[in-house]
Amino acid sequence: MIWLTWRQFRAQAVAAVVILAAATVYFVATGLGMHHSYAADLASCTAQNNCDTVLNQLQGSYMAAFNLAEILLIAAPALIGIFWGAPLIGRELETGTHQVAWNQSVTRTRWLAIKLAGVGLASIITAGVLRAWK
Amino acid sequence: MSAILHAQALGKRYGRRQALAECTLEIPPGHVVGLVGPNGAGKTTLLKIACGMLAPTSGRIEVLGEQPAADPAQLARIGYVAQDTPTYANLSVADHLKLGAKLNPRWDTELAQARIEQLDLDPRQKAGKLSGGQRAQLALTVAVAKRPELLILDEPVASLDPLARRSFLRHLMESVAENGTSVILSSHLVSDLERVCDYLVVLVSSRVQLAGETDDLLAQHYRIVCTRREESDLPSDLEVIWAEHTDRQSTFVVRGDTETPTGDWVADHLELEDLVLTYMERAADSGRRAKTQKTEDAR
Repeated sequence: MIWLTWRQFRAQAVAAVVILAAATVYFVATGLGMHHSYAADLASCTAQNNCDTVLNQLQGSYMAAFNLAEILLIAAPALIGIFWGAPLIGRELETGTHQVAWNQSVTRTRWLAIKLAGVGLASIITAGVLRAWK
Repeated sequence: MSAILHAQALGKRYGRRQALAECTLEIPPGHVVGLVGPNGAGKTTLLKIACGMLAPTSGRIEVLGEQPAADPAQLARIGYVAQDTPTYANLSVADHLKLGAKLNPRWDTELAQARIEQLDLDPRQKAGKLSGGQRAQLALTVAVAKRPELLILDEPVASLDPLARRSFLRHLMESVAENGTSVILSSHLVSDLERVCDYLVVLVSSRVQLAGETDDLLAQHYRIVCTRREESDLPSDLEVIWAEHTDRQSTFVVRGDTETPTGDWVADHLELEDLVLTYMERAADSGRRAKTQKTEDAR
């Protein structure tokens, strides 16, 4: 049953990992850039005595990345619900495949428990990774 | 050995609609049972109750001597292929076999492999890309390789063309003969079942109209053609199933014992299809009569 749950969930899991990895790379790159320009700008601004303007500029130029991270964090639960939660049971009922699953030598309770536990665990891990960004 | 299916006053109600009523059945083991009836007669409901997908609203049912789908052991004893033979569209043929192997303790890998080869299915092909006939065969393979004692098939050939239909039924019969499995399969076409079934259950408008071994049923029923007369003029040991009168002639379908009823008439046996249709017509007719009665009473 664990195999079947994983086999059905594989595509969605791979997609999520790719998105998370891409986002991580992007944010790490932005972060390094930010760090660099902050150090460089701060060093030069004391000499020119215009630190307020420079800091404002710095904030402005990284606002987009910052907003994106914010949106992703807010949207993550909804996305998980749409792409992982809804098809978990819904697709089986829609295509009638629950009738296949329920007539193997596995009770319905076990079927539901393993599905919920498996995808639930994946959601927790994803949330953990997102949390680590902050 | 006890009955494969024992139902006592079984009923199922969906809201206000009665899908199955007063269904009392006792099917002995070792048969290929045909469940016939028009669309919406309650065939699917009965089969779903038998495999535990639905709970009855009244009455009792025992399949192979136990409650349907009570525990994994009971689930392992029954193979079920649902209507339209659902399969996981994005899983390959090989994945389906793996699924069966992982989820069933008595899974027969060799049998499954042999059947897939015999059917010429590509194990890497996704089930969603198979034709209707191939998909039905795949679903049957998964159900058969589970090595059940009873196989329940709900209109397995309904969506297949005549050729695929014949090949499906042939494969079904082969695996049944090899493993000694009992089978219940439903259809709204008698011609499908005629070739394979030795036990028949006729279900019309949510009630069981007729049940018994095909040979017995055929031996007990006669069509009598005679000069015009009333039903009461026939010998009392003949049960009249259907009567039709013209000005000068009467035609009766009667049920009696196995000896040909003698009298001033011509008595013949019926074809299975005619027999089933007679019972279907009778049920439809009495249903219509009950309805007119009701509207008349209302007035």
